[in-house]
Amino acid sequence: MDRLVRWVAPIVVFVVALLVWEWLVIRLDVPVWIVPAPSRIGATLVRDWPLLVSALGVTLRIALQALAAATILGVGIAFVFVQSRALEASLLPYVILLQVTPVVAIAPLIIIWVDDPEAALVICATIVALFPMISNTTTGLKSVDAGLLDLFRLHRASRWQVLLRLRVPSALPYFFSGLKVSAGLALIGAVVAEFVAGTGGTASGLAYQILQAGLQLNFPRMFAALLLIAVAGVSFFAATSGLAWLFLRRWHAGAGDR
Amino acid sequence: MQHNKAVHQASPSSSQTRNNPVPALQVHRVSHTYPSGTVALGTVDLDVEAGEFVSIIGPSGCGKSTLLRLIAGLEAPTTGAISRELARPSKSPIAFVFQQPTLMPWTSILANVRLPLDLEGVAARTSEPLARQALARVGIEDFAQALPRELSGGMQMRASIARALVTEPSLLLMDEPFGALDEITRARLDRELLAVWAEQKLTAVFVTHSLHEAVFLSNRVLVMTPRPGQIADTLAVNEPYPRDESFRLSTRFADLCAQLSHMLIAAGSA
Repeated sequence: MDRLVRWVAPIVVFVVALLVWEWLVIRLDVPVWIVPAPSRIGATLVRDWPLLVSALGVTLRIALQALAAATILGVGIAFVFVQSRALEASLLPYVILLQVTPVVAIAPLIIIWVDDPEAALVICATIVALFPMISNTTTGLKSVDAGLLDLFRLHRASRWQVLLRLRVPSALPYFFSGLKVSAGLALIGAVVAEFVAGTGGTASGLAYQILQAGLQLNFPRMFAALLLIAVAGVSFFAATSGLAWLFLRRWHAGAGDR
Repeated sequence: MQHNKAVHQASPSSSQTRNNPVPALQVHRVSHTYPSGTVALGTVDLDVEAGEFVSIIGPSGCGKSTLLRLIAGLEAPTTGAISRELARPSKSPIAFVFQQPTLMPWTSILANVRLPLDLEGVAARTSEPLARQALARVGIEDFAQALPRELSGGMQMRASIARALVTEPSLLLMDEPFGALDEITRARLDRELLAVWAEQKLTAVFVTHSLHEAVFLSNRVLVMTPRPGQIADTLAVNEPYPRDESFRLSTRFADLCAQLSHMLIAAGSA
């Protein structure tokens, strides 16, 4: 029953919302340049499918590269932080600085500095996605059961044994919750960076299509592109949640609650 | 069942060990003060003979856990010295059982029990049978592949004891290991612990806040004063092993508990 509700209820809400939307647009005779009807957006999605899908591919490629870079960098930096308090103290302020600086403010610089437009966008998206990985993984590596740490010390475990056999498994739940947040941020970062880059970017991602459609007053296409971004975001969340579930379901109490 | 059998088999060897007065552990004028200035433990002198079962009882915060951690070498004493003459030369002569089962939740009971051997670099082909033996000794060999969370609190504690036994230590330190368990499970684990202690010829130091448990288990019960703790008095329990429930139900047991209770009151602990 619970399961059924969890899957069916959101779908019902979605369908009802679309019907109400369609009905309101027809009833109130809303012009298409203000809000297009869902049927119109659907038709555009089908008609412009080749264009939109290749744009989605570009945005996804940037977001996935950024997520991979953020994961590798984030975990690496977290490992360094846990090994040395001095290093953590000296680098943490700059990590926070990177996090609090809006990406729209630094994206133009990065786009000027980096020749390859796609690489520039990946760097921007990585900056957006990096902080949750560092912060969560560091917290995880430090949240070790004090008794287990005593046990490892009693048996004269090396620093390496403590890291691999105790800190890394303890950090997994934190790592995965960081990954869920970072996956969404990588996509947002990719889209925002594309917006900032405009024609200076790869000139082929979803954000670029939204910009172009806006200039051409092609609102149904704007909405269709927006829909694809939303679907991509939800898929990222579902994929990372699934990954977390796969790794943690056996032992971690929170793994089942998505 | 199985556990009771072990008690009877083990009794002769354990009494032999106790007749041999080698101080396995000497705690000489040891105290512990935290860097903040908080005195965790007053000055303590304590000798434990090889094969002896010594319990430490006292109010919470008196430093009995600190004393145990000092003996384990997990903390360094602020003053004084601790010497350990441990019969069996092994990489891990000291085993520690914590208040909580303290098992790694992500891996099987077997892997948890094997951990001390893994950390010592013992090959899996040697460590796995040893871990299974240790599990059998505490009666949970059927749960080798289970995860900790699939076991009850009492069974998790048994796994924790199996892990302590797997390295064949000479000195077993226990910090209120059964404090979180119900009375029935606790009494049962007390009996099983005595059986293992006798069988393995262990020297045991047991911290508890239960008078009954201390009297039931020990050769000697040390009574500590409130913070900063010092040893106020000692109760000798001259009851032969193996001990079973008939000891717990005897008037002698009740008398010993009453004596211990008076000692605690005199020490300002009750």
